[in-house]
Amino acid sequence: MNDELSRLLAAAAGLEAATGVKIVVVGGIARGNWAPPRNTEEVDVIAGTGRLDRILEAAPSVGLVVIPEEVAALAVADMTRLRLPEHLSGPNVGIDTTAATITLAAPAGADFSPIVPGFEVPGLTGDYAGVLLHVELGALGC
Amino acid sequence: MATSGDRLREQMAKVGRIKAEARSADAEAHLRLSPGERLAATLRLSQAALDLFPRREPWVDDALETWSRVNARLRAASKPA
Repeated sequence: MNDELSRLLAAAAGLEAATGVKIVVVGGIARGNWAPPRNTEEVDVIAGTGRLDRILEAAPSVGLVVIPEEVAALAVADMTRLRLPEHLSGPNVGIDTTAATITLAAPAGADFSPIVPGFEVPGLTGDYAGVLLHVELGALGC
Repeated sequence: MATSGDRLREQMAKVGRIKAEARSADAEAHLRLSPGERLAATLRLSQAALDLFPRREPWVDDALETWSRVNARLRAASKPA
């Protein structure tokens, strides 16, 4: 079991509670909910808000840290990063998030293949395939 | 008369079918697990991969590329049809 990922998922749930912003998990964690898992080293989420600063402001309250220089650099891609405090630099061990106010359609029922037609992202391949597969934190038991 | 090329293509198709069946069986078995068990499987696999290949520096941060694409996709999805 990966304790760091577990802590990050708990922190994401804490962010949701602290801000009232709906957070859905995407990336490798979400993929593992819909298809045989692949390994991942961070937690990727989408925050249902137009303002990432709300998420950044709440980071300390859930035990996460933001690095101003990193936040500034990542803003180019309209996303940001909240790290575990023991990983202030180097390979990312944190939550990567963007903000979006759209409603993501959920895969319905169990009638889907590992590829999950309709939830692939055109142009994204390999590790990025299915990056918009998502799952609500509550559904993961977080 | 079948040529060696034909036989090779047949063999490759057969291997492809067997691999697809195996992937489908894996997926079906995984989806029979509870959501918590599926998450646990991802966490176990991630830890095992980390044990095998510990994080090292320098590292390549692909977040800008990845999230630029994700946001482009989100913007496209948010446009009215």
